[in-house]
Amino acid sequence: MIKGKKGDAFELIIWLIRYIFIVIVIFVMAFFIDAFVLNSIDTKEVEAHVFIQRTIYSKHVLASSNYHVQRVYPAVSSALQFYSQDFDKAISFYWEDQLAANITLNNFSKLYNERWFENWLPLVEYRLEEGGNQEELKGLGAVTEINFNTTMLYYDGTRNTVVPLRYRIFVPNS
Amino acid sequence: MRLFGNKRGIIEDLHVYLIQLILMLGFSIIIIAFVSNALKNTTFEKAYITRDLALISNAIIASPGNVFYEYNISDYNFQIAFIYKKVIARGEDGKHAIYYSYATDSNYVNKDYPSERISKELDIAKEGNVFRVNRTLSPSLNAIDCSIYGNESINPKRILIDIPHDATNPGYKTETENIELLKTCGIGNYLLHQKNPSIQFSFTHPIDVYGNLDCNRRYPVVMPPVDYVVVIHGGVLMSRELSPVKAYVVHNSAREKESLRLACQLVNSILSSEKLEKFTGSALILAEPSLTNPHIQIENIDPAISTIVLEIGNINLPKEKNQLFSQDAVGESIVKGLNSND
Repeated sequence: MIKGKKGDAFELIIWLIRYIFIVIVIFVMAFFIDAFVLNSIDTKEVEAHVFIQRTIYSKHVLASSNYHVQRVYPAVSSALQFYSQDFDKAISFYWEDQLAANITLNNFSKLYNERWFENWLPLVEYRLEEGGNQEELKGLGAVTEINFNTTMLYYDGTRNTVVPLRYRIFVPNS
Repeated sequence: MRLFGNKRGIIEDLHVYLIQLILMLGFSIIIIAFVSNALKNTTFEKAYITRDLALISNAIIASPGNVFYEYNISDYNFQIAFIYKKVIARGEDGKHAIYYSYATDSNYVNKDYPSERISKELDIAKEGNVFRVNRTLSPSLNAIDCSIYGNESINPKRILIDIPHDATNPGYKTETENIELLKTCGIGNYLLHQKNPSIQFSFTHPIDVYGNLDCNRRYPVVMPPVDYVVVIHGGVLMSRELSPVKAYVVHNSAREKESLRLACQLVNSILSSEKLEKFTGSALILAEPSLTNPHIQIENIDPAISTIVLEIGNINLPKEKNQLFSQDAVGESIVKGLNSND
C-alpha cells in the first residue's frame, strides 16, 4: 500500500476505475438481457402475403365463383368482374390504416383502401439524401412497401389467357 | 492493496469493501427485478397471440371452402374475445387488454365471440357463409356458402308445405315409403302446430278431426297464395351410412337465385341442428320442373317458379341414426332456416 497523500490519491483513482468498470459491466449485462427480451413483432410481410392469398382465393375478391356448382376458380372472367368487385367490402379491417394496395391485373388497375394508399404514397416515394445516397424513410411513422408479382387466368371474351398480376402493398411500420 | 496493513488501513479498506458490497447487491437486485418483471409481463404474449389469431382468422376467411381450426393456448391464462373485427386478449382479471385487427368479409356473417372466461382452446371455423369462433358443437363442414346466392337472407311469409306420398298415388307402398310418409307427416304436423306469427304455413293435406294433418289425402282444391312451396322428402339411398341433406331447385326459373338462397338457408339450418344426428353431406341441385314437383298439381301456383324440394337424410338408415325419426327437430330447423339472418 502506498502511504501518504500521494498514495491516497492513487488509490482513489484505482477505485474510480473499478467503479466505472462495474457500471460498464452493469450496462453490458442489462444490454444483453434486453437483447434477449423480445418487445416487438414484425408481421408486415406475413400480413401482406395473407392479403394477397385472400384476394386470389377468396370468393368475393378476384376469384370467380360459379354458383351452380359452388366452385371457386382463381381466375378473372372479365374486366367488368375485376372492376365490379368491392375489395374494401370483402376485406375490411378494424383499423383503416392497416394496409393499402394497388392491384394490377394485366392493364387494369384498382386500389384497395384508396384513401390510405394516396396518403402513404408520398411517404413511400420520399427519399432522404445521405452522403450522396438516397435513403427511403425507415422506422416508426414510415411505411413499408411490399411488391409481389404472380399470374392469373383471365378470360378475354374468347379464351383463357395467363396474364400478370402485380401487387404494390403498403403496410405502416408500427 | 493489503487488507490488513494497519488499523487505519483496515477501517478504510472495510469502507471500500462495504461500498463494493452495496453496489453488487444493488446491481443484483436490479437485474433480478428486471428479469422477474420481464417474466411476469404478458404484454408481449398477448400481442403475439392476438396477431397470430388475427392472421389465422384472415387465412380462414380467405378459404373458399369450409374450414375448422383448433387453436391451443393452454400455456397462458388469457381471456380471448373476437369483437367487431378485433381479437382481444385480456389477463385473468379481465384487465390489460391488447387487441389486433383482422379483416372480415362483409359478404359473410361474422359472429362475435365476446368471451369473459379464460380460453384454453379456441375453435375457429368458416361454415358456409358464417365465420364464427368457439361454438361448442362440432362444426358443420358440409355447410353451404349462401353468400354467393345473395347477401340478403330470404324470409318468406307464406309457405306451402307438401308431403308428396299419398293414398291417391298408384302402386304398392313399401315399408320404407310408409316410414317416410309417417315421418315427413310428423314434420308437417310440427309446422302445423308451430306458433310463429311471422310465417303462415299452409298444407297440401287436409286436417283431420284430431287437428293433425291427414297425410293419406291431398287437397285437389285451390290453395291460398304462397311465396314458396317446400316439398319434404326422405332421401332414399342404398347405403347404410350415408345421410345427406339435399335441396332441389327449379333450373332457369325466374326466381332461381332467390330459391337457391332460401334452399341454402334451409339446408344449413338442418345441418347445424344440435338435436339431429350429423349428416354426411349436403347439396343444392338445379333440376327440371318435372323432377322437383312430380306430384303437386295445385291451381293458381306455378310450381316451376318457387318450389324447393328438401330431401332429408336416408330412410334406409337404422332408427337410431335416422334423422327423420326426430321430426320436431327437423321441423324446428326448417322454421329457423325460413327465419335465418345468416
